[in-house]
Amino acid sequence: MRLSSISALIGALVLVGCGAGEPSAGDSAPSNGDSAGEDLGDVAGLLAQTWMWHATREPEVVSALLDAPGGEGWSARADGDGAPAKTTFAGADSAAARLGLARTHLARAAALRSAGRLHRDAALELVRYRRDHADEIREGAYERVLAGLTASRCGADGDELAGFLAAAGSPAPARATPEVDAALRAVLAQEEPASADLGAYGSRLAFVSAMDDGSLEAAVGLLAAVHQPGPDVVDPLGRDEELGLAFEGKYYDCAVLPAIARYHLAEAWIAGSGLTGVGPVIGAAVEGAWGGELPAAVRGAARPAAADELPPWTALFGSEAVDRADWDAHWSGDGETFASRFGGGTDFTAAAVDQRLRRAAAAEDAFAAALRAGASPDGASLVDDLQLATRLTDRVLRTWMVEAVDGGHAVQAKRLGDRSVDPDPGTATRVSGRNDRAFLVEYARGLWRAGQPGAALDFVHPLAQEDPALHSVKHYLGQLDAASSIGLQGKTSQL
Amino acid sequence: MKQVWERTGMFLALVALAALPASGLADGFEYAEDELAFTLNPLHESSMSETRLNELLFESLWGPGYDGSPEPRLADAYELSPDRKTMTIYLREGLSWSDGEAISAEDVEFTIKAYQNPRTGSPDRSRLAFIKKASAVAEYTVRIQFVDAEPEPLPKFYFKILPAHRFEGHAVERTHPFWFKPTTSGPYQLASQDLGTWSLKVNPYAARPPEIETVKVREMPDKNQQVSSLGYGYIQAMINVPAQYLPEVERSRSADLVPYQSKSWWYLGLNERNPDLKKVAVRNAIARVIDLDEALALIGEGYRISGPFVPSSKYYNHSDTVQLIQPDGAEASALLEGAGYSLDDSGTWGSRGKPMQIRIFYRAGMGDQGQTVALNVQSQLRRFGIDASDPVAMDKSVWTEKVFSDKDFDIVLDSWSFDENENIFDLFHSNGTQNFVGFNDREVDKLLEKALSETDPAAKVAYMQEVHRLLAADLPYVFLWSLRSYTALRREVESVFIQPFYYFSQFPDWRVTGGR
Repeated sequence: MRLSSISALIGALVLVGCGAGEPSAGDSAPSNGDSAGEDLGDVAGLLAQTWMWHATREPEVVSALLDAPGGEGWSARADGDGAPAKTTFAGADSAAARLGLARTHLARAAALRSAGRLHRDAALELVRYRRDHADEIREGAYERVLAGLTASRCGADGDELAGFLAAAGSPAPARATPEVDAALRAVLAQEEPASADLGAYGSRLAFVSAMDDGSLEAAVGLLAAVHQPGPDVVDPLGRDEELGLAFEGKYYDCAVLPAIARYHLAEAWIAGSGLTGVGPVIGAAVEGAWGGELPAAVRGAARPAAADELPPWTALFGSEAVDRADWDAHWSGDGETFASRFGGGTDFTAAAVDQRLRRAAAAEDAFAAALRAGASPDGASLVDDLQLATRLTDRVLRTWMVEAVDGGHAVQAKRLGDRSVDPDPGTATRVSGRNDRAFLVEYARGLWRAGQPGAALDFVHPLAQEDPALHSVKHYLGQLDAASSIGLQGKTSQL
Repeated sequence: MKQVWERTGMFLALVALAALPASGLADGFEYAEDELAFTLNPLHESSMSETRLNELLFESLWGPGYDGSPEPRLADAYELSPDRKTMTIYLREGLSWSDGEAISAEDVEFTIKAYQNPRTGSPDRSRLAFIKKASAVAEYTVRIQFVDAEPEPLPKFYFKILPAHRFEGHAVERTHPFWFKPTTSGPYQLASQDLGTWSLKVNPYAARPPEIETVKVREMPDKNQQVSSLGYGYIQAMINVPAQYLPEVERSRSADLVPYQSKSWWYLGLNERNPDLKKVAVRNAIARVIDLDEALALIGEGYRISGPFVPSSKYYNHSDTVQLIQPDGAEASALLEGAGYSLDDSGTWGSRGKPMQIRIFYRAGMGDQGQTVALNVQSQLRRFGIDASDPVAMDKSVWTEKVFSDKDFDIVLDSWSFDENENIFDLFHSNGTQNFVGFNDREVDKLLEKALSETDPAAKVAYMQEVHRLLAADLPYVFLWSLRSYTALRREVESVFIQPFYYFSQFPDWRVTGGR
């Protein structure tokens, strides 16, 4: 039973051919850094608190997780199928299922958090572009007030914010609908929105407000409006009468994605409450990621204690974060990441990134060897079947990637991210056991920052196809990509 | 706890030692292309293998930097007139061609005139249509007059500069010996050409001297051979790794897969000079005869498209009015019957007693995948009763003559790749330099013209999405799919940065460490 459960998970992960498969053409060729795994004791020290280490030492705990009611949800999660996983976990009554449900909500929150950041940065960049090209754009009826809204809600500050707000104060053109203009100005002034005039946007603003208060009850009633496709505001930019085309600007509010992320954090908190062992780990993630004090309404929403106890490390099973310290840093954005313990420093020059890539490649072999050493046969098989060493290496590369983007080294971030993308995910979204949605969005952020908005779209578009909430990110990246092509005819070649 | 940290420190030192290059820098880099570059003359460059190779051989005035923004190559500085209609470009002084001749303003003037000369027949001619006049006003100074004001002209100067002293006039024929005996300004010059191989050596006068001394590009139509050669270290890079080979390359642990961003899609081009294919109804019928999902499944994973953009493009029209065409034999029959066609006694579609006969060509450079899809398309057309001939593979030279010049074809299977600007103007405008199918639609012309001159990104997107909608209905092509693109490089190749589309733009910084 135990082995069959693990096999089912392995099958779902579509991990055939990883590691111990038949030799390929490349096996005879030398690989850099094969000797890196010789001193396994040192590696063991680094890995000793990781969920990978625990899983290889305690495969029976993994089996128990998978065999528990709702355990098949873990297979769906491993495939990146959040919705089926949620349904499965929510329909089962076990500590493992509650943990799975919490983790599913956390994964969604992580993706939305990354998407929210990309939305914020791209929206700001677009209003800057339109401000700086005022003579070339077709100014929308609500252009200035929407630019002011973008600047204030997406985090512009200082003189830049003041400039946008000053421009927003000028009267709207005659073609603007007075009621809509007034409603938008009320939002800008942080007054109560006139939701009737703003349609779905009004409901979304109410949702944001509800999540600020942690009021899940109010938020749930507004979820349909939040998930309804379409922008918050459509801004008419004029028409081409000859060809009968209407032009539109689209505005998506920066606060919506973070609010949806908070909704899922709140759900994760509730699912994790009452779980002995893993509950506090889930709770720490929620508190770290909330962004401010966790509202009492969320903190007080708890489920009854579960009968079963799960070891704390299982809270991380299958997670991108590899150990507790890494987990806390991942969710709070502060603390000691696994990558920082692995080492690397702050140098992101091309030569330093070459060195990082060499070290990561060498370490992967060492990780695999260390995980296998001392593990039972069942545990050792997990190393290949769950790509545990690859995922540890991914974690290092991806942490470095995000640090590089945040540090203004997006080109080098791209090189780091390139090496950790699962090239064969087997899904249209590119989501796989390795490619979680948050990583794909972060990778896209790096691509955009590296001057490749089209490449970023290549990763965001499939995610937006499955999740309308991400249309905002796709829209802003698309506009920036189009802006970079203004006046250019470009080159075309046969493949 | 302290012990753990000490052990971790030792581990890191060990990993750092293991990560050091085995033995200094190697001197050569070899890579494989499905089809070898046919011409080394940038004026006539039309395939990605040529674009990539010419990136190693020639410099432009400005080129794409790491972050995609223009960086000076042969240019040193520039001035724009207040009305932005005139630009003065100052070249870097002291640069030379690979034969030692000085690179001067005359070379720039010559290059622009050669590209613009219709008798040159450059596929990139329209990319230089923004230039009204180019004049060398001093040894290193060029004055450019624009057709319209150009607020941000630098990315328009990515075209390669050619040595005027190698040519007799501005009309440069494809047969000019420059195509195999180039004089270069880039990091490399041609060392030799053998069957299926171009060999390059360092250009001693390179403006951007490379770290790697020699480059060799090998033609390997067989992907199996490419994967094996990569695994054994006979080549260091494989440009395109098809989906079915990704697991094998990833498993090898000697090479890394890196996303190669080029907006590429496959299509069946329908020649509108063919009296049957001229009819929109016939083109629509053919699109409904072929089960494209079936064809795609034969070659791997990809995204079906309904128009001339990859699905993630900002220009792709995802509205409900533009749908992927699904196979529908009944509708195809109705369309043909409505256009005056009927089935004869042998079960073949024809009109007025004349059977519809279709010749199918595909470019040899599309390799096994091209052959597989072409055969499948033929098979599906025949099953439906369209007399489709056995697909014929054409190498680049035959293709250029038969398809691009003579327009002597019915259906061709091929693919296009685009830089970030996704220029479809030349493919579908009635005056487009690559509109070889003879598509002619006034509304599409107007939309493409307006899209090109539009300065608001939202409006430009709207124009292009409307083009998509119209082309999805008119079907000058049957738009097939976009495949994910990964390239593979052995781990001894370092400082790698794959430039979207161009691939080798930053190659001078690449290094090959020991261990081959």
